[in-house]
Amino acid sequence: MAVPSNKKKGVLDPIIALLKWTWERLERTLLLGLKIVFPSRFISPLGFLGMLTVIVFIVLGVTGALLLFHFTPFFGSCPPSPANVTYVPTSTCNQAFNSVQSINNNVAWGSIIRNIHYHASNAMVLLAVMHMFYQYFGGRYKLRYEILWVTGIILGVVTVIEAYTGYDLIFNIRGQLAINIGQTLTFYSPVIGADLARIIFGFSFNDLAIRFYAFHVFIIPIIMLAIMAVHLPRNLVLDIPVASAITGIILIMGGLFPVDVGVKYDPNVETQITFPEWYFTSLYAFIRVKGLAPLIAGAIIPTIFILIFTVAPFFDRGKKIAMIDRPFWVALGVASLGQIAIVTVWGFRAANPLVALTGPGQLVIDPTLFFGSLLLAIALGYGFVYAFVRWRRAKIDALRAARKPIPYRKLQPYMFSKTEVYSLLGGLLLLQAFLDVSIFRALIDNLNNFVLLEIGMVLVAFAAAVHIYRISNQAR
Amino acid sequence: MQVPKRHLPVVGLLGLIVIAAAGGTVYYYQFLTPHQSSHGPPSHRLIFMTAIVYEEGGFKFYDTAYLNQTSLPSFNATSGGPSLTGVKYQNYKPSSTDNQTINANVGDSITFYIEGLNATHTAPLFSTHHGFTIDIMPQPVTVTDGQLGGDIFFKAWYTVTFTVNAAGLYEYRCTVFCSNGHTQMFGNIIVT
Repeated sequence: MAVPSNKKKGVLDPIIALLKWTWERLERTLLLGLKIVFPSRFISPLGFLGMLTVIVFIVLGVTGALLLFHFTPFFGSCPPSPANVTYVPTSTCNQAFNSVQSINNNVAWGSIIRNIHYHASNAMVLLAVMHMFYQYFGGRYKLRYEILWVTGIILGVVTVIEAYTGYDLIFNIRGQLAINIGQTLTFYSPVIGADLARIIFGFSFNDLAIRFYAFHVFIIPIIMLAIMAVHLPRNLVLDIPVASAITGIILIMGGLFPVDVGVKYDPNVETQITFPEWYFTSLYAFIRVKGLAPLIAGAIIPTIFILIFTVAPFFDRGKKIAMIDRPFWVALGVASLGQIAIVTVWGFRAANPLVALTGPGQLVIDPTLFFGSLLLAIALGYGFVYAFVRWRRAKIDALRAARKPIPYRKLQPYMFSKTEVYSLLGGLLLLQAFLDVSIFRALIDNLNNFVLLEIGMVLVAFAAAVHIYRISNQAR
Repeated sequence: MQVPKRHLPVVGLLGLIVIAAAGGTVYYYQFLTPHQSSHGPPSHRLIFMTAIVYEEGGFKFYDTAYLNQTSLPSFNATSGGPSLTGVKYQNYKPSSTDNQTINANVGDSITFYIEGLNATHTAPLFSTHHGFTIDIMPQPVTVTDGQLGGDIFFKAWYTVTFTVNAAGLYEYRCTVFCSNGHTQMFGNIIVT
């Protein structure tokens, strides 16, 4: 390209040249067989939620690999306690939990890494679900994306299973509740249930620990990577500032809401009341409904729910993808979102939904109230959304017929003046410098939550600086 | 090419306020607020412990809690000892997992409830009771209830409450030569 350019020389030119050089050489590799676009202007992150999920998956891989160094996948033996003492935990009892506790309390930066791992796992489940619903409402499973859609649903289910095996490995009472439910559901599934339960869960807590460890760190991630090969589209969008902001938000959450190790599970001690992770409270609610067989509640109902989503592209055959042209599917999506929300809340409630669940006596849920609330929510959500979409459609059609312009509000973009850009970038730079000093101080003072919070803030400030830079570039 | 119109720099000012608030919050909470190493305000720890000769395990916690009220649980040395029923408390987990080590901050109170277990074992027994004290002189504590150096009879309860005054690593230990392993019958209090 011998076109003489009148561009001014920039300070970053050599670095950009080096990056370009590397990029061109990378084109010889498989890596760039995926077309990764780095957008030069801001686009909505809703469009690349899948890529953000991948980023979080990488974060999980890195932090998980670091946690491997200190985790003991072994339960040990818990001898029964002497007659006149209620609780004598020993160092041989529940060694998996002991190792997690030592990661949290004793290992250098252990609590930081564990917090990132925990919050990233939540973020991954959340982002995957958001990704699915965005693609669903956008009708993106059409346009020859059916295989991507189906593998995506499978990948989502596998992601949740991966999260499940992960939080069971802590062997606190929350993990133990999840293990109990999982084991019971597998055991009572028809024909192969009993054998399957033995294969997956083994014969003792020691078996379980080593098996779930194998599942969590190797088998399921490999399966996820394999499914990703048929799920990732060839054209990907990766917006570095947004990815950086998401990572930053995960770290900030870790700093503000540091995760607890929980209560140690000891087979000799009566189980306390506890809750599953938020993505399982829906299942927990179904299982606790009075008179519903565990298999139907915990396996068949969720499977039907997932199957409805899986087959959606094969029934939604219309050519149009806009929300306004698919009232049935949009209403179905909103109704299912409402259902998920209501069942998730039910998971934390007692038989009377106005009372918080505190004791084992309140575990059983009244089916009339439970299914009544569900049916009401589905009917209302479905009805209102369907009617609304049809009404909008009719209104637009009427305007078209009358040859009137369709009212449509265009937002005027806010233009930064030069002073604003300079002062904002300067402010962010100062903030970054101050945060860097603070991180070192916090590390020295052993304030792990501040370290996490401030690294997160640095990442978010970086994202903000790049964003301001690029929108100021547009205005020039 | 778009030329920005002259306008009030609303977003710019708001942005600067957000940046200043972020920096200020970090400065306030990290540099101006005093930090306690791991735990917040509740600072009266209750330690429920059993005592048996070293060969059988020595001192061991079986429950720990933060006391969340001003009065101590009712205590009876012979019939049953203390319990947490009716007492306002929060969970306290010692940072160490050996069930012998307590971590506390300067100024915190600690109440020990110790039950002497009946020593049914094969190791030779030299005494009918154990004892309890902080093994450093002068003791870096102010006793507010009970007394240090008291006896823990088998099948009976003993209690002492004190406030720790200075940082350091202290040992609490048995004062009575109870068995051959007597010298190892101790645990640690880490005061930061």
